[in-house]
Amino acid sequence: MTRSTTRPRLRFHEYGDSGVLVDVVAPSYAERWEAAQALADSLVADPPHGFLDVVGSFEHVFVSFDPLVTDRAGVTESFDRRLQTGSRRRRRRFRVPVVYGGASGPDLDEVADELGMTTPRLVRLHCSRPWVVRFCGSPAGAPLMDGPDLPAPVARCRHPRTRVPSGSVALSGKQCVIYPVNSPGGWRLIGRTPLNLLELENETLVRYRPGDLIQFMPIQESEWEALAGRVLGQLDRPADVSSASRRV
Amino acid sequence: MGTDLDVAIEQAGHAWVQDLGRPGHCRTGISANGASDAHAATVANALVGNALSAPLIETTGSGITFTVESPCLLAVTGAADHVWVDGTPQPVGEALSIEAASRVHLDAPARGWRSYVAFNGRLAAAEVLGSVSPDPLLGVGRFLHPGDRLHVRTAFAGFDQPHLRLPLFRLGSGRPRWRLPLRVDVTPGPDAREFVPDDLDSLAFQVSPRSDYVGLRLSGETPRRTVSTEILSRGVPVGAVEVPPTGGLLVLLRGRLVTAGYPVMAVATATSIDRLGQARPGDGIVFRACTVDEAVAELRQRRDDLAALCARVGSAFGAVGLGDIIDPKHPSRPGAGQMSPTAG
Repeated sequence: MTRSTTRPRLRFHEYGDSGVLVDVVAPSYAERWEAAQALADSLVADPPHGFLDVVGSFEHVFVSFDPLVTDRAGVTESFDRRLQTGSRRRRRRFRVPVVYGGASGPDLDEVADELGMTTPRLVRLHCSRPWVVRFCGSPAGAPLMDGPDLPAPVARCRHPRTRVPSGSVALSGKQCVIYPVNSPGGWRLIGRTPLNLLELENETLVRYRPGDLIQFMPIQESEWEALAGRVLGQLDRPADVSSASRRV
Repeated sequence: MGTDLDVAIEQAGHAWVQDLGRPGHCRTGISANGASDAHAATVANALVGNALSAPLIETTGSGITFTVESPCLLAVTGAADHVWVDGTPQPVGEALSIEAASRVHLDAPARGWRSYVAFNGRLAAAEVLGSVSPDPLLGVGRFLHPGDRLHVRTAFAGFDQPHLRLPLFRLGSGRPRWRLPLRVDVTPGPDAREFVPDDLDSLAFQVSPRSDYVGLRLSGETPRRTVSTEILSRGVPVGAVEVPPTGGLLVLLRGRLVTAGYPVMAVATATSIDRLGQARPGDGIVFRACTVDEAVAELRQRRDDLAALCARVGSAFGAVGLGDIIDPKHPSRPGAGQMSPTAG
């Protein structure tokens, strides 16, 4: 990755009486995303007075605060300093087995067709290298991921589904998501993993965090049963898991 | 110390056990949820001496009927006009002492959309991430059906004072004013300047039936977006007024998904978000631009009124020897701490 010498700059936007939207100005997508995540991490680790919650996304940070004890100036006062002291985290890698196509991925053939490639080639491309978790979004901590370069953006469903089964792996634009829970959804479904992503009894809720890597691997329908209900990370080498607990 | 109060649900319409939600998990993509009219829920709990965030019943666009099997102290706030106790109308917005085996009924609301029923004590319901709030996406929540029984652990054992008629106290929590069209105060959103007009003040909208606790869909003349740049997914606040490409507006309520990629023209103020929780399908909506300072002043006023109400509850309960039914976290109790914010 080429890194420019100028530091990312922050622009603040009014976002209601209890919130502020920060957008990160930097020359590259990677720098904007890294700065947004570093700022969000820093706010969770060392919250300013009156801080309530934060969402760090591709190049934005949305911060909510209690307007009865602080204000926008007070809550954002430390942001520039936080950017400069932000540290990078170790990336962890999780393997995610996927049954592609058929009932598990009803849009696979159509998406391959739209991208001008055969179905097996799309599956190979999807598994060709790990996807990077950019942030945990909706619904319920769904990992929003960038990955192998698709030849063209994937269009959304013309008629969004009212129920997408949990574990579904889906594409939209050049991004990929895994649905952690059954929910409505408009992304195109290419496969489904038997693994559980969301652990409500676990304080962190999901095991992956922004920056972590997801490596998809194709499995057969017949392998589903043996993997069903296992949690993310159980298939990964102990080395990956131990590095996971060593946070930077 | 305390007794178990059983509440037998006879007819529930659309009702569930609710509280002020599970804020603080946005980073993991978990919606806060919680009472759509958080202020009404807070007042109901304040009236019966509970912690302000205690579990209570929230009804949506429907009535409810239940029988209390032992004496209880309850309060109803929100849309309901009366509390029918064994066929006699009693006031909303007051603490009511109810005798054992009484049948309590709320009519479906004529104005407003949601009512809250708080019982003194602890209404039992399973917590997930520190809240009982329903979240259909997470598959959690207690939905009420005819034949269900709710359990409340309460220190209230009845109040036998024949010359005191119901309600027990005149605490004066104030009634909501149902003026239509509903006025929604908003501050400018980050994308307002991309629209013609760049504010919503001159436009009128109507609440569509395709609205729920996630958001209100509003139909009406939609401001025109003058640019076509794509907006990357980003965090959105409760109260955000989004302009989807399909026309109309989408106003996000507390069940909103944490991230979205629609332009945000305006954001409803914290006090207006609670008013929006009472919007019913067909209601007219008008927007009024205000500053953050004005919005915070109104929120501060509401907090002070609530603090005064809690203090009245503390003295009134104390005066009739009911001081020990007040929860240690009720703001009238010393050391209960600051009032928790109800902001998004």
